[in-house]
Amino acid sequence: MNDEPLLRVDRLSVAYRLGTGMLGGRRKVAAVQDVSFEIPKGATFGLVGESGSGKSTTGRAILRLLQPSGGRIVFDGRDVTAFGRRTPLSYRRDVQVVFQDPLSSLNPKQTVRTTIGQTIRRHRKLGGRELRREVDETLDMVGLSSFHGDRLPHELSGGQRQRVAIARAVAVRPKLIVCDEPVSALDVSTQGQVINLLTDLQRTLGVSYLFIAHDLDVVRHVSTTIGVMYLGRLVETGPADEVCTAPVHPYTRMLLDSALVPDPVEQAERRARRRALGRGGEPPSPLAPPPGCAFHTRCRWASEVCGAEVPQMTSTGPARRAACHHAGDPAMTG
Amino acid sequence: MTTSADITPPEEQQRHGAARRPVRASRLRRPAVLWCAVFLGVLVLVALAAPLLAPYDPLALDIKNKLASPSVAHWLGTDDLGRDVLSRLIYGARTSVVASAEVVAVALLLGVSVGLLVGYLGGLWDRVTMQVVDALQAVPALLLALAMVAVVGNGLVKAMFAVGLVFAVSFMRVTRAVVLAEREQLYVDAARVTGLGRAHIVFRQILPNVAAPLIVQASIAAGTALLIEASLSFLGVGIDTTQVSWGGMLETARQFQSEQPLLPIFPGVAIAVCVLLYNLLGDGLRDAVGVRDPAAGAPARSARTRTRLSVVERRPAEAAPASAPADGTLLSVRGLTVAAGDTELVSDVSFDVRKGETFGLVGESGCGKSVTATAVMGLLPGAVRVTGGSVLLDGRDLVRLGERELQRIRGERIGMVFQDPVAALSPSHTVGHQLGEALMVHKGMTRKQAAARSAELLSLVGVPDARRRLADYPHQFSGGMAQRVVIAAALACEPELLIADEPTTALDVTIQAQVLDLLDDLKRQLSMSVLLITHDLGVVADVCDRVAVMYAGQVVEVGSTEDLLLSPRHPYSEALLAAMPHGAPVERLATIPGRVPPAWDWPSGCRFHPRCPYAVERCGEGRPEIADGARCVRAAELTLKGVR
Amino acid sequence: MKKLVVSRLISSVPLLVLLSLFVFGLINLTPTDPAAQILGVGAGEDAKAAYRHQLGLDRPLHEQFGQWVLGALRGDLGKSWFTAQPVTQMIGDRLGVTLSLALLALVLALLAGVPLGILGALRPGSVPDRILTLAVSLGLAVPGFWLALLLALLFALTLRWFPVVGYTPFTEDPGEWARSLVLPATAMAVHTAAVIARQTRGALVDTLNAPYVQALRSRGIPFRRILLRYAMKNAMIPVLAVIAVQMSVLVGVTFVVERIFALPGIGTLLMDGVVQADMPVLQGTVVVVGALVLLINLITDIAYGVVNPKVRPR
Repeated sequence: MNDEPLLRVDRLSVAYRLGTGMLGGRRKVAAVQDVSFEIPKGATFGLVGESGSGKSTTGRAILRLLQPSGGRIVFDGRDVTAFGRRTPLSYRRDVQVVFQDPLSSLNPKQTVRTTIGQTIRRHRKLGGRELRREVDETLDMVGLSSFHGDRLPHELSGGQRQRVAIARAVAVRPKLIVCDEPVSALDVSTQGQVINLLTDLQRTLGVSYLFIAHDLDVVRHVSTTIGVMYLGRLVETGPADEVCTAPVHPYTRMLLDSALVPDPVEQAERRARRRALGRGGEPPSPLAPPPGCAFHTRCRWASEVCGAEVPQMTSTGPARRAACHHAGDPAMTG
Repeated sequence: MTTSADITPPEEQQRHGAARRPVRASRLRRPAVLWCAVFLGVLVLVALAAPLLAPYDPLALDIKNKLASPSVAHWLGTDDLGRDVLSRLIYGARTSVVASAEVVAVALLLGVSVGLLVGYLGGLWDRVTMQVVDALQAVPALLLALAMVAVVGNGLVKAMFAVGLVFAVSFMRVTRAVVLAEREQLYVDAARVTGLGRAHIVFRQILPNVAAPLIVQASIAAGTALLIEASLSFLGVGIDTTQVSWGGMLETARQFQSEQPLLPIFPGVAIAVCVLLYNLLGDGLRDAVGVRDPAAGAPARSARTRTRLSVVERRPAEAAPASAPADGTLLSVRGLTVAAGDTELVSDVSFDVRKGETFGLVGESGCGKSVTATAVMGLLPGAVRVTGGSVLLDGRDLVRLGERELQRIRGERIGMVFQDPVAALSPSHTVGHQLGEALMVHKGMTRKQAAARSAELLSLVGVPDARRRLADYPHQFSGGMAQRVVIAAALACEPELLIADEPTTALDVTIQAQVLDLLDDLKRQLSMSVLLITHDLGVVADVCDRVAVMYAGQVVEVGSTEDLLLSPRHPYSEALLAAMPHGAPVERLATIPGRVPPAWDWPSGCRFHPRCPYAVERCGEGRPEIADGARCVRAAELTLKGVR
Repeated sequence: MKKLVVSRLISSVPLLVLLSLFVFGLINLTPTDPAAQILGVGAGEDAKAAYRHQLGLDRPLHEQFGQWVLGALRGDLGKSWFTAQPVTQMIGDRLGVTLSLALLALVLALLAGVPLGILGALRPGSVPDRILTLAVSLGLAVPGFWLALLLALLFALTLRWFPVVGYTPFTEDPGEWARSLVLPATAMAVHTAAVIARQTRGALVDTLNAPYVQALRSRGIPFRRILLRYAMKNAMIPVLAVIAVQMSVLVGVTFVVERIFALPGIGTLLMDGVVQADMPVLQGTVVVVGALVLLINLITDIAYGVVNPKVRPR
């Protein structure tokens, strides 16, 4: 076993063009800036953030659905950002995706069998009976039966649809699956089933996950390492439990204190902490991010330097990093 | 003539998957569609077999018999040259069918290929093409056909080619709109990620989705083409003397209608019936394939019908409470049953909301919690109505009130907040306008007084720069700010009860916390009660004093928040708590096997028993009642695990 | 608002250029020789060449086009090959008829279509609504010029309530003007009224089902007030879009209807142009009508901006 991680994202930036005039807009909006993280083989990296944080954009850049404007993505020793217009088929086999809304991520006019079958056939030349057996095996892996293969997406329940989406992803035995909010469209009772399925598959297939979600509790449950994003930048990374129990960045704290738990005692504490932090205000528009630390407009501990300089990710402990000018300030951890 | 059948870009609905109904063969077999198809089939057959069917040669002159009225020899009479009208009608079908077919073929071929290309390439290609298309659409199709005839000479084929060119524009627009919408669909991204090529994606994944709207478009275009062909022939361009056209027959009729008034009738009827059939076929197909017609409107009933139904057909409560509710109770829902037709959506729901408390109604989607809230407001949609029970506000049964009396209660005494705040505000009215409305209606304020009070309300709910923002439109507000506006509107008349239906579900985590804090503060400040509907037990833990858990249309457990979360008494409450990931991670999340049954398929006995780990045989029998806060026959024997 | 008008005006310039280029190209692609047509096939080659020179047809195409555009910008659309009358004047003389016919038809269609649509939307599925739906289907299917024929037969030929043919300018006698336009405008309005009724009904049904209507009701606002002050405004947004398209349709239909009632409009001019292959007339007519339709689109766009705050640039 070597120490090289499966995926290394190095100072990744993605910019969108704005405007749809006759000649197209000139203004660019930075959706992701300077994001770096690694995913070891067989591990799960959880990316948390609110809408507009750039977490999905990061995932889409890794999937090569978007062209990064800067930085590098290295997968299995190969520089993904150096690929040309065409993505090598081997990369398409190695990296797969599960999206949030399974109804729109499955073609409504194709049966489950067609959807999964065409994915397998793209990568392995299999004939009728073999293909059928392969699809059935894949369906079995995600807890569906052979007869589900003949259904159209709308004939399945939300949880079953998400299982089909997962089946399509694992059908080609990928090394990395990008899970973009895979459970947030599901009811509580189905959420658990899908999360358990993902953990089971990781154990049996040794696949790595990039798990993108807005719910810190869900991410904490599935991830080994967590990255917190705010307005296009990574603000804190570290082992899942440590980040959740002892957050360094004020935004991570805000996120943690805002997350609701069904435990009335624990929730009362979170509530007290949250109210102590003050109102917190609105997140700034990604179209006009504030100068300096993007969070300083909502931060209780913001000082002059926060509004002037962008804080860099610095080490705050073993395997932990945060981008905050006041990281480690005793006033903040109190 | 440009067709107005452009479909609206379906992004909005498609994003939510609501409009993604697939074609059902059964829906194609509807009588209307079938009959139209049969009649049009007959039309084509008549066109093909014209020489066999027509009693006379359509061009044979018989001057002696000119302008004859219908007779045995000439069923529909003769024209100015003694030609048989019936035979000419039959031959005219040929011309019209050919014209329609040519236009549709040209438009399909050209429109679909350009639309596919432009839609997929996007960018500059798209913009330039759309400019050209806009220019082309500025010319009425008839005008272009006339210009074409003038330039390249007379002839039906040439004229109809020009019409096909113009129609290609609307086919192109439809194709492009669908491709653009589908291209944004996640399944296209998923296909790219699995390594499927561009060609595969365009032809195998996207094209089948364009087919349905195109079939509809083609049917309508065939009808319009027929109309244009008739117009051209009427003007004397298009057809030559050896061809017979209904439009040409009308031109003859125009000259001789003072002598033979029947002449214009038959060709006109033939044209109208054919166009009608094409249109009806198009409409029928549209319904069948589930393409959204911008002009058709939703199938649901209007708001007014709703109230009418729910007021008139409301059956008096069977088991109205004998006694007035205990002191301190503001809202008392007693045995509320709501049904859509024969299907009960909510069965025998009872709970009390006390003065000054926040009461939570919690459950998964489809459990009937929103229906309950809507029933309390008297705002049930369409065929859904209260079939039993009562809703007592300070002892007064809202179920028995008429619309006029309810209007005085809504807004004045009960306010409501919704899940999607931006949708809950009219997009084309300023926020100030909408905030002031209730004040003007209930408090009789002038527009000016209302505006002043609205500004106060906006600052009360924490919208910065309130006075200026009154002039803004809803789309200029973020989700969190819009929800504050909706809360302000609901609180305008300081109601005693606020019903909040999933008020924070659409919001980000940190904003959700802010809005919950706001609701809690306002509750104290205005000393009102809150009925909070949510699927999130975390929200319950955060702000609710007491809570009722709903499952499959029933309240299964009710109690104080602390009791329910720490020591639940119903197995469903326990399962729901266990399924939520929280606190220190566990090896595996607990799950509930199976899924929530739909309203028409609720199990007998305890509705949770098929999924319940504690179910015994008697759980499947009878109709368990709520006893000691839980609707479970085994509640006393079980020791269930709470959140700790 | 000013910004919107200016940006729309600017964006319609390339459309007009494209349109005239298209028509110009179409006309010049064809091997018609006006000299031969006008002077007769037997005329001498010299005479024909001289005539072509006189018309400027011997110059390169791009020069001809440039010449034409420059002229058009000054309001000079050339001269008819046959009557030698200035095309601008010919069109100017007839534009009033076509426009008053189309506008009158639109007004009639709105007066009938909008209330009918509202009626249907208030009680979808009720008996009046079904009758309306049926009437709309019929209205969409019946050809306007056939209706014109029947109306002329009944009211002009038989009952003699209206003149059979002919047109009186508004400036001469407003009463006669109206009388000469009532029948053709009514015949044209039926189709458009059906389209508008259908769109109004659909839009209003959708609007009444919108969450914000529910929200307004939850605040105790009476239904009538919601309908008049909120729903109607929002429902008119899609109706406006249809009106723009219909105006173009109506201009097209006038060409046919003018013939039935022998009204001296653009349509008659156009037909003469077509029959005689009088290119300057044809070209001028097409471009003017195109510009007219663009102008109508511009006006509806602006109305759209007034009603719909989302498209208003800020």
